[in-house]
Amino acid sequence: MIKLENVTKTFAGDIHAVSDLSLEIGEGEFVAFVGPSGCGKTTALRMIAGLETVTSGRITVANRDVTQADPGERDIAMVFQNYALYPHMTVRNNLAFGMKINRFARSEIAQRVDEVAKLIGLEEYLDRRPSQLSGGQRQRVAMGRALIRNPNAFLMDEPLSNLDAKLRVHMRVEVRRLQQEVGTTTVYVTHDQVEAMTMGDRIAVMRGGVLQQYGRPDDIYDRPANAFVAGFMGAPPMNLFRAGLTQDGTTPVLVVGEQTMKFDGRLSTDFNIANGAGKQVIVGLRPEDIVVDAAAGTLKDLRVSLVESLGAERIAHVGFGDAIKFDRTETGSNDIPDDMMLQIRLSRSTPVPELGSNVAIQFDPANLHLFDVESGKSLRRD
Amino acid sequence: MADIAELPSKRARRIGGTIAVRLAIIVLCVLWITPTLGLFVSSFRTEFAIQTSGWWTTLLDPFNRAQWTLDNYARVITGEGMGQAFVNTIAVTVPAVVFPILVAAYAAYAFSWIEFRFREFFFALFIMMIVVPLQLAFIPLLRAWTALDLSNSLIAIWITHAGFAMPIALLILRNFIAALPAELIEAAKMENANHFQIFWRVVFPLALPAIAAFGVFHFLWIWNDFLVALVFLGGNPDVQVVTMNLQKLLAARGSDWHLLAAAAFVTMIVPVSVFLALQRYFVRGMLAGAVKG
Ligand SMILES: Nc1ncnc2c1ncn2[C@@H]1O[C@H](COP(=O)(O)OP(=O)(O)OP(=O)(O)O)[C@@H](O)[C@H]1O
Ligand SMILES: [Mg+2]
Repeated sequence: MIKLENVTKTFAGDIHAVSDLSLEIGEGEFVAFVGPSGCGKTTALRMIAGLETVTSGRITVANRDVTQADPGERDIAMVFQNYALYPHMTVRNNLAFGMKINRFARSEIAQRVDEVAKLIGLEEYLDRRPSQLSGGQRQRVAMGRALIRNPNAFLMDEPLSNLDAKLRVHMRVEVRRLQQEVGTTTVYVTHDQVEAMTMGDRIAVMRGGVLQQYGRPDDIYDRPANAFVAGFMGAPPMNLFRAGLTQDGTTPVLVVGEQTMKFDGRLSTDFNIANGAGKQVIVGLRPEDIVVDAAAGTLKDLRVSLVESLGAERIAHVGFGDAIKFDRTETGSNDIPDDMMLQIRLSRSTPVPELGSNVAIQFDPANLHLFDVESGKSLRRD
Repeated sequence: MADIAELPSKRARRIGGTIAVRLAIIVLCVLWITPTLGLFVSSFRTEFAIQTSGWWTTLLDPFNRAQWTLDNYARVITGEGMGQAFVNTIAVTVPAVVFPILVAAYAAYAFSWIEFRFREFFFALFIMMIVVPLQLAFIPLLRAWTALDLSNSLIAIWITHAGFAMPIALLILRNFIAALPAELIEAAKMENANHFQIFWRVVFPLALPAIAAFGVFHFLWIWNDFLVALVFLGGNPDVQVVTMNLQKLLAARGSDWHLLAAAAFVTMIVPVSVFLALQRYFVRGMLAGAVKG
């Protein structure tokens, strides 16, 4: 179990790498820290490891306050991005290093090395040096070095980023399998949201040193806490665009350009928009939640400007064209892309819309997301 | 078009350059090797042979056993004290090499990987000592050793040599050790290794090329040193080193070429073997100093 309470890290020169980070990671849980480059993931991980001092806040590992403890006292194993294998030692000695340092009996070390070598499938390679291994094998040794000690937690900083795409997918499963086998609490840092989605029991999305959302992958995907998380998780990302909020009698409606979206009054039951009339909101729609319909739909007169084929599916880029003008100078959340282009995921069975043609789109109101235009926060009722 | 037209002249220039470089190397080799070879041959010739004919004449008739002898070596080593001097030199050199390197390597580790106050300042202070000329320290050091009743002792010269070597050793080793990947040291820290364990199990093996390079360099310097030995051991004939013995021979028997040649070779044998065995490190050490220093 790992608990962070208001953990903050400020580097010299007033760089707030991590601000007021609080979260709890349950025993045996696999948590992925994800976010764009420079958002403080590594810094947060290194503070848990003890390799970086904490400016303020508290870190608890296995019910012990380790905020001031040395890295070695925390009984945590770390897997580094470039593996950090000792180049002058064989695989065997790399695996055994920690146990030797901590004066385990020789017979016990030998036994554990054999067990772990079997677990990571490197029994044949124990007498090789790291330089004589492939990238994937080195990665396994790095994993093995963490596994051998049975520590309180594993910390991994982008451990797969040096592997090619195919091997990465394979090792993703492998890392998760090993972790589940030993049931050790794990913090896994990645900037790849797919990795986070597929591997994490829970995901912590960070941005600019601030935790944006912490939750199960499905929750984060289906109920993003703000427009940033909505746009960051998912590929292609969620479509975000502005819409006006007005009242049609007593029912709130969304206005995009000249067009009005009604949703039979669902807006007020699903979203906190009671005092919103006359304001703007950010509308979010996942590419796969949109259906293209040549004739009628919720929004009409959208122009098809590009259709990409990805084999299993197609991505249609559909623009509002000149029909709808947006005031870009308006203040507010800058999470909305400048070009008002919607990406729509089409299954192979749907007919390909013709380039340049005008189409209408439709979606289930249950899949609609609304965010506050200033704070970016989700307006969905809990 | 222009490219093609230029090609022949470019090529000619390149070949010309290569030839010039090779020629220079050959000239240098001949200039250095001829006297050394002459000395080497002479050291095995009899006194009479040396006085009557040039050393190259033996090469024309190398199987004439009468002109070869080992007497020169026997005399120099036993009669002229070269054997004792050889042992003394080893006694001076080995600790004077190992001691500063070990201390400098520890210091380099601390200056690279341990955070402490005024780290950069102290490092700069140590490195600045490089500009202090040896000679400046002689008088105060001599007085210090006398005051400590250590003058003309091995301990005095070990510490003296170590002190003179320290700044440059620290500079070279820190440049190397600080450039090791931080993750390796952090990984060891995560495994609960203390600084000693990190140093001996991770840093030292990885810094071995730099340590060996500097070690070879420093070893040769101390072995061939005359000045420091003369100043700090000159008063005690029991601890004369080879360079001092050679100088004494030169003064007393300046015309006995057969003895001088043999003595010179006794002096040279260790540096030459060390150099040949470890030239890989030697070249790298000079580069480390040149590029990074
Ligand atoms: N030692 C340091 N000194 C000063 N600033 C630092 C230091 N380490 C990190 N930072 C800054 O702290 C912020 C967070 O860095 P961090 O390495 O944690 O980002 P990250 O999320 O891991 O990014 P990436 O995905 O690129 O690895 C960045 O703005 C970075 O420049
Ligand atoms: Mg990082």
